[in-house]
Amino acid sequence: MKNYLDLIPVSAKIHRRQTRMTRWCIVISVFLIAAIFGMADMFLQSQKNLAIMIDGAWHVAFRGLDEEQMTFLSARPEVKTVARYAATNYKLNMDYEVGGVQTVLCGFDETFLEIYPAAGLLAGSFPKGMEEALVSESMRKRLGLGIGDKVEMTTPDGSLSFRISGFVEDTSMMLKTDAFGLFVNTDTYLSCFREATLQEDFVCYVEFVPHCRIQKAIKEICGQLHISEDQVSENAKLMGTLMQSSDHYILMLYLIAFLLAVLVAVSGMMMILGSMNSSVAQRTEFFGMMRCLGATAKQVRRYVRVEALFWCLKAVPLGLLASVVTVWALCRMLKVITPTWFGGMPGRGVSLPGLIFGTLIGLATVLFASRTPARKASEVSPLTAVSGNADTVFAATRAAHTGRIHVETALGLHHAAGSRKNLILLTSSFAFSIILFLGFSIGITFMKHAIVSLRPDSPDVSIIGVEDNGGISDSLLAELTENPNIKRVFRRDVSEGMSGTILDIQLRDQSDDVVEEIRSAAGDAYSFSDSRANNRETRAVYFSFALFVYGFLAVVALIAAFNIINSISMSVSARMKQYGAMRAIGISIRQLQSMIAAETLAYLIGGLAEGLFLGLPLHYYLYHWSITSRWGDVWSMPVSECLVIAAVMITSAAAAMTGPVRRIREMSVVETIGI
Amino acid sequence: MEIMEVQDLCKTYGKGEAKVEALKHVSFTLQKGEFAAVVGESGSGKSTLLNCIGALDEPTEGRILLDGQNLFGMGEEERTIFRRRNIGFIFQAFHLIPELNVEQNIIFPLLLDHKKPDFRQVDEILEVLGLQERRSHLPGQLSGGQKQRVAIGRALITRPKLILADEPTGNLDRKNSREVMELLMKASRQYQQTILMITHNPNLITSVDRVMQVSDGILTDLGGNINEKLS
Repeated sequence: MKNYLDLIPVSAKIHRRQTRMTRWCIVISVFLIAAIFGMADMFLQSQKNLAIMIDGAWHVAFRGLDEEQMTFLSARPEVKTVARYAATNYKLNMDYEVGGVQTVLCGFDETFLEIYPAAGLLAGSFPKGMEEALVSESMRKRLGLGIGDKVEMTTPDGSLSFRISGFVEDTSMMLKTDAFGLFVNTDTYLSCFREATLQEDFVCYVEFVPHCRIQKAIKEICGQLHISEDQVSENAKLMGTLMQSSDHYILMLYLIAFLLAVLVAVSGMMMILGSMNSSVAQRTEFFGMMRCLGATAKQVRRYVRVEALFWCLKAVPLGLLASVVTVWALCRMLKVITPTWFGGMPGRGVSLPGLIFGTLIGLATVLFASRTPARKASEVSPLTAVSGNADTVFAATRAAHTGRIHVETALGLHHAAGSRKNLILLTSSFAFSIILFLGFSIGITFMKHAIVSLRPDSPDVSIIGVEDNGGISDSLLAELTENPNIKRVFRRDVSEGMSGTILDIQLRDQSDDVVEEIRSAAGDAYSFSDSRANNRETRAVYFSFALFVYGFLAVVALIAAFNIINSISMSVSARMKQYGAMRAIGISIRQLQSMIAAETLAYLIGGLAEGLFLGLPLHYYLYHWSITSRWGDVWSMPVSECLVIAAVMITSAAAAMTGPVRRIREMSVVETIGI
Repeated sequence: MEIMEVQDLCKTYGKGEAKVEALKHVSFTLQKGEFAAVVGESGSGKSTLLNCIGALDEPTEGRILLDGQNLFGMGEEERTIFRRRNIGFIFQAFHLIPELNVEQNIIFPLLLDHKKPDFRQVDEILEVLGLQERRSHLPGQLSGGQKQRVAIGRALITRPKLILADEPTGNLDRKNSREVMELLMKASRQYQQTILMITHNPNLITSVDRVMQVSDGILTDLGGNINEKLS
């Protein structure tokens, strides 16, 4: 040893058991913080992926720009991709048809395929010439087309003929409405359909370069090119996930997320602070001995702080590793269950913000948290070490009330409430779990409002029969019901707008072949609606959202459980010598159990009361900002959420007692009190 | 009247080459009201003997009978309750409960039995110990000598069959040591209290009834006669 601080690793080996809990506490706190931030990061990434898949990778759309404005816009350095786009008959209310089927007609630049992955090119190439067009996959299948074939489109102004240059995927809207799509390049579109298209239906989609401050860029572009505000629209979901939205509501959501992040960080800090305080308190004799041997108060302070950093050496990487595994597992679940939508998610679950926040908050907390114990340790009088009073962990300032209740219960309550500081620290850390849980539970309400989930009777495909054509025949219904690939068929009569019958079909086998089979069984007399793609989108959105919202809640519940288990364990460890002495005098294990139960109960009741007192107003305001302001729902008492977290806490408290009681049972009185 | 009998007591720690025989076939008896001291060098086995007699540690072989009851023939819970009713402890490091005041610390063994203390008896003990003025003080507010007097009071309150004192003056100065010894003597004489004290201080054994020496785990009775002293 060259320096007194070299004693730290030596002491760590000897005090391995005493400091184990503190080290675990750091591991778990770092894990929880890194996991929550990592999950938040992955949540944003998943929602970003989803937004790109469903709505496209564009950030802003400008309507009704002229050629000159367009040229200036493409030349700007912050603009990555510009794609012109125009559409006709997108409401399917005009006479644009191919083979007698309503057809959406679009013109766009080749770059549009880059920023709108949903319209993926399945075969062939982008139409270059004036008479070339891409057609949707459903048109290929139903009309039996190939590349190079001619396709005739009837329009209100006569018919037009195009040579097929390739095929693109059907969008969920086209499948649902059973419509075809025909896509030409922008120049062809302008020459053929300029007259038929309103100026505001010419849209210019813009994707900015990464890390660009988009709001600032939009402002500059609008100012310089004289574009009015109502010509600009944002891709709200994508901008939201990029934290670039200008939407007031989304800004409010950012604020709520920030508030919750601060709460998570604070709860991690409180956990580490509590365990470090206790770790120092247990080694009063050791620090007294150091002072006895000539260490200055400053040296003891430094010792405690360097020791804390020494623990971090192993604890922080371990916590980070655990968080990476958790986030990886969640991402794996997303990728395995919905590969189409989340195939692009990072595979290893390494979230840089998660790791950075975990490390920073972990280290900062440990350093900050070690200040008080370091001061306490440096204040230990050298006399303490030799006077035999070192086991007096928490100096009592008033006596316990033993008059009316059993002495073991009275002592348990006194252990909890005897030191006001200790009581506040522990009940506050318990309360924090409730506050966090109530805060995060808003996510479920938000999810239920923001995302329309599939109803149990949502159909995969529907067959619509109009009354004028005789409705839907019973023989078709019977045939479909007997088909083994069909799970359920619902028949409903409609009278709004048109009168007729709709058969809603839920499939057992979701493949295209089965849908084709149903379509051919129905024949051409009926309209057909394929909602599979739309359902898949809805499921993916709901699943990805639910996975993270419930993931957050699970982590918060874990924080609560760990915190309680750790606090009780610490408290018992700190008084082990006292329990040993009591055992020698004749207290039974059952009585010690009651003593610990009374102490636990005091923390639990205090924590619950404090948590609800602070958590309910927080829940009210978060609800008001995120739900009432948007959907108008009035706040109501979150009874089920309160019950869930209370159940988690009560179960954890019961579990928390088993470890310490086992230790007491196995304790050697002689060794514990050193006689 | 014979209050305690130790029969062929052996205590071994470790196995194989690390095996240590802390007590080797120790046998002796104590009469009611007898004040005996066990002396021996550090590591001789005297603390092990006290721990076994106090039922804090289990002997490898042999029996200990207290008032005819075999200490290790009963279950854990039963033994704990038997101990708190029949054996009083006085430790070198006092081991008072920091959250209880002087009076509560003294009546603690009774409270554990959920018994209502007889306050006349408590007053009497406080008076004997000279602690009336301190009855509401917490241990943190007492001197070492006062703490040990509280520990003596705690050992006396149940009128146990045996008081075990482990170096009771080890943490005290000469004046306090003398006072503590006087109190123990007084308890022995006034209440006919049987006391077994462990010490390495030769000055303390001059006033006891009987002295035993432990050396290398073997106990030798150095003599003294209870009747002589009492007379």
